[in-house]
Amino acid sequence: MINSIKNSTVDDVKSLEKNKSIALIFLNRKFLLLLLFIIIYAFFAVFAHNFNSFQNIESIMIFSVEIGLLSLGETLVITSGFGGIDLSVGSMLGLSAIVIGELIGRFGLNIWLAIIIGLLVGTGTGLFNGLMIVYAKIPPLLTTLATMYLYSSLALLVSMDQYGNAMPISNFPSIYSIFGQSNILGIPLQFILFFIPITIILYILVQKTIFGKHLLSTGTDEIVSKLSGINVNKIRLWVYTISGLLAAIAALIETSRIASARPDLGSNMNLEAITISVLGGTYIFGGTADIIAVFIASILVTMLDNGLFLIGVNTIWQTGALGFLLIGALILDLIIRKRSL
Amino acid sequence: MENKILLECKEIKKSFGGVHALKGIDFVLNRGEVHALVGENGAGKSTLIKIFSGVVFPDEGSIFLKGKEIKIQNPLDAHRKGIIAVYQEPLVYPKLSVLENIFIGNEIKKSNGEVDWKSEEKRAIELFKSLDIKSEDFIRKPIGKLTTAIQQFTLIAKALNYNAEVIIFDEPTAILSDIDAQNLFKIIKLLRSDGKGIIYISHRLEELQGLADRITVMKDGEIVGTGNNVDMTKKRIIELMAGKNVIEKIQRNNHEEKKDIILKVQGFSKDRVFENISFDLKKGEILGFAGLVGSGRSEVMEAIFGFTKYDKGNIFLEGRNIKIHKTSDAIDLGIMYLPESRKLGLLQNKSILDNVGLPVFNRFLKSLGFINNNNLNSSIKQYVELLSIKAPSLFTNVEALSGGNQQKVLFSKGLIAQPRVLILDEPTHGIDVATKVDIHKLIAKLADDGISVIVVSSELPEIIALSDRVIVMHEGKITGTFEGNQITSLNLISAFVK
Repeated sequence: MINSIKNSTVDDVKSLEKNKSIALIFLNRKFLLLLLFIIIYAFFAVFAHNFNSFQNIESIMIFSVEIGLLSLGETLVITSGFGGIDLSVGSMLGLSAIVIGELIGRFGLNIWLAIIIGLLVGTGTGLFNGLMIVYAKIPPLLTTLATMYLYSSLALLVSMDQYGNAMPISNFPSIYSIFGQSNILGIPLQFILFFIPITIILYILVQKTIFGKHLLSTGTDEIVSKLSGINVNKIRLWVYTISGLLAAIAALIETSRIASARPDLGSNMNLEAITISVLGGTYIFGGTADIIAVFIASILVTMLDNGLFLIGVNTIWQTGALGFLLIGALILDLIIRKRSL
Repeated sequence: MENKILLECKEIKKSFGGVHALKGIDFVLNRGEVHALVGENGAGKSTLIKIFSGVVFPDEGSIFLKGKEIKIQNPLDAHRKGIIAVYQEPLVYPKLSVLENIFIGNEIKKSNGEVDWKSEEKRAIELFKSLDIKSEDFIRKPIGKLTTAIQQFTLIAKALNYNAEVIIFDEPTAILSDIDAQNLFKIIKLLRSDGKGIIYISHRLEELQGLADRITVMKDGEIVGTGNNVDMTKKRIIELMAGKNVIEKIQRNNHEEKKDIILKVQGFSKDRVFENISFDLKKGEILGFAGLVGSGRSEVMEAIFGFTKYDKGNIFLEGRNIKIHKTSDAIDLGIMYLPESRKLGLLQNKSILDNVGLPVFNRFLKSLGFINNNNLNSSIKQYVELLSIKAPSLFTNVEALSGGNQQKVLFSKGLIAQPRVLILDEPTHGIDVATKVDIHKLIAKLADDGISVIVVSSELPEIIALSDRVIVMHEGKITGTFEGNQITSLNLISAFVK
């Protein structure tokens, strides 16, 4: 490639080989998940009644979208480093959902306007997280722990009726159902028009753009990045804001899917999003992200839930299975990282 | 009859990865003596006291304590043998009280195993009393809230509790106020009259006059002179530190007179870090910043670059008063700073491409935030060739490269930003001699091409070989500016130790 490169020493070549094998193993996260996917799929196809039906596959796709979007946001946040984590994704979803629901169901606002406001609310809550972390310098874990409570409390407040009871909203116009209940050629619309395009956009954002380069650099080493003229604060503000926006999009899809908006939507999704992100190869200390692997991981986890349910495993064990999967992935991570040192 | 010699070492040698830090040291410390050690950074003083205090193990040589040969296994072993070091910034447990700090790991216990606070307190007060310090007021306070001086005194008390006979002070006064320093001297004299042996390291030659009985000068891992206080005048010490070696200047091709001022820094101050720093940098000039480690040079440069904040002062670039809030402002204006450690300059687990491109991705913009990889890669390739970086490919991770090549990658990263002012912090730190010469030639070439270069270096030969002009900093202030044939080791060192 380059003249001086031709003079490379034996050591250099060795290290190149080492690098290649590292790169291969890291790349393997996607293949590893696909392999796991196939094994789990085959297992359930044999043992779970109805698992391998078109309807069931469709429902796995449907259920993977909302948690998948949260996991993608989580991935960006964790990748930005500095202990980056977002515990409030579920609460942002809940708040955005109830805002959309109230605006349409109680105030009869134009649904498009309501959706835009809902998305803005989600984006705003994400931005608020970012501002607290970047400017008040509160560690992300604590900031988002606080806003997790704050946003779900706000959601309850918004949903109160005149008697002070938190009420769900269910009177959406029928057109609103297109986001979560329709399909294109049998494939759920939210999967094709939201999940896949957003995954591709984020993949390109992280891998091909300046923003992505700066994000990975910031997460790898804040000081090197600052000394290279990167505005690490700006990067961090952006990732938390994007996480909020994605939570709001998930809120839109979920309220449309179940034709109802409740303030507690998303309350059990906070930690699951982190789990899926880590399972998808996101390095918990930042700097490494594989968007496609996170995409696969969110389908994998949804499929696992679905399959366990179908073969009649107690729901209590479903969360346990997720725990096992995560520990397995982390041990694998450790082995890979040790070998690459 | 007791032996007069307390601690002695013979033929101590130590090297770190091929660098000979100590090349055969013979050193004697007598009872009731304050023995001062002086020398530049890297002369080997710290390594020697680390050997005495059990932090580092010597490669060769022997150590004798009161005439008996000993091996010092670790710091605790050194404590037990009665050798204790007090560092500039005392190593204490900040949340624990003075009392707990003295007795930690060595508690006085009652028969039932509980800590006997009363006895400890009584003993501690006695210890402080022997140092002529009234300790009742502060003995129960968390030590982190007390002054550095009291922290040092506590460590001395702790040393006495271990019946220490050899007490080593490593630049104890560098961060003390004058009054505290005077108190410390009083205590050291008390210890001396008590028959302890004291090794005292300092860069403040003045304070040695009244304090030290003997002074030893180290240079490049060797002892170059030792003598009684009266024989070792300040002038003599500086001469010994400077040595006789003649340093050859790096050849320059551009001999035009440098007169256009490109960067002007005025009244630059930051509380407790640097004070009233003013200087000019001319076009095509290499300006050296000499001084000891911790003299505030890097901090000034980091503040100019926008990496840290400063309190007061102005920066003018080509006569225009500029405000730099963040590092990208500086880079956009054509000021680039390359940090001391390659660890701070490069993302170790990322490729050469990613590292070199980092500061300039936004200059290779296609649209929508996409990077024009073709232009970027060919530009990076150009610098990799210019600096003849040896690497299997541009996709190789930086961590797989040798130190010298990593340094060159760092240089590429600086040059690709096309700076007008290039600030290099310790540009050849930890690099082999051959690559060092390469890098020096490169720096000279950059200056010849019209880039103005600031070189911060703690290695005097490097400063002398490269610089057109040298500014010396000492404890946050500029203590001297030298030009042309005034740039000699002797002059620079005189300004170092003011």
